[in-house]
Amino acid sequence: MMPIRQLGIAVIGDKDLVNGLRLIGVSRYYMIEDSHNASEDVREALGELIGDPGIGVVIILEEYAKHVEDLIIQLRGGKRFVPVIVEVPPRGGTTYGDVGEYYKEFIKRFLGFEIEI
Amino acid sequence: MAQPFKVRPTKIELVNLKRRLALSSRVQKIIKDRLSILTLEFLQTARETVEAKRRLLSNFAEVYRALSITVGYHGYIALEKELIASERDLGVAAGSRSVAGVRTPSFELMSHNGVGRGYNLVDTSSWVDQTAQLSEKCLEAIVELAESQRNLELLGMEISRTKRISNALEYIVIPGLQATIKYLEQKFEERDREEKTRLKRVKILLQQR
Repeated sequence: MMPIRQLGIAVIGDKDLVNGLRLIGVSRYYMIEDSHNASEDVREALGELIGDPGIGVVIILEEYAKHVEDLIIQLRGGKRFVPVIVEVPPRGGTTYGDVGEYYKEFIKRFLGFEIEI
Repeated sequence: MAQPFKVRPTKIELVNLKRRLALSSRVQKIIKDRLSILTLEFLQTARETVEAKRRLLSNFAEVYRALSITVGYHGYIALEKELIASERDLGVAAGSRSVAGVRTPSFELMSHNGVGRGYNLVDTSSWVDQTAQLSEKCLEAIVELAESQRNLELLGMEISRTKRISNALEYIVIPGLQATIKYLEQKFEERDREEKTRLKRVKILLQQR
């Protein structure tokens, strides 16, 4: 049994997301400005967070998650519990379409057959 | 047809193989049971995850709407001051549970009981309050999603692993053992027959003398 630990929450996002979450107390944040090298900035920020054992949940904007898909997949395939990366929608709503479809794909990959949830 | 293993054709080997076969089939049965339990858990978690994600999406839609009003009302610069004040060490309590032998994490948002939010209540409008409330709901949804999503991933990986073991047992190990046992038994019968004919031949030779 793993002892109960206190872990931090970090957020990588644009101004809206970061402001919304700072309002309730998230103090670890990486605000990515609309610059030409957003991809590198995101990669650097996520790399730093993955290396930090005190971080439990990383909140990342969907469009930024696309820049670091390889890191996320690597993290998901690992045995470590944390950090967990949660993708959240940008201002205009999610870009992934239906939620059910997204996870159906996921289930199909592991179980080998499709199933209605 | 499975290939028999390369073993020395001795009786002791046969006994050992029979033991291994019994053990393998027992293990396979257990693994099959485990697989079905894992699958059930997986589906349950998948349902939870989808629900959490839906909740998160709808919460975020609300929070963005409230936030834009807040920003419009106060302006980024004035809001920044309040934001700096409201930053805290917000965290999650992380523990672990065991689901069918898979260790999965469980997260819970640490509540800041009693202590108010950091921003100044005098200088700010009710929009800030409303936004803060909505984003808190969002954060709860995020933590919930984080837990069930990670559970889903870990369970999925475990299912793939278990499936691989089960398939290896079912299609390779057990047929191989059965083939080897059959091969050995045939070999022993053959040896018996050889022995018998040899004895007969010796008997005939002895009678001819």
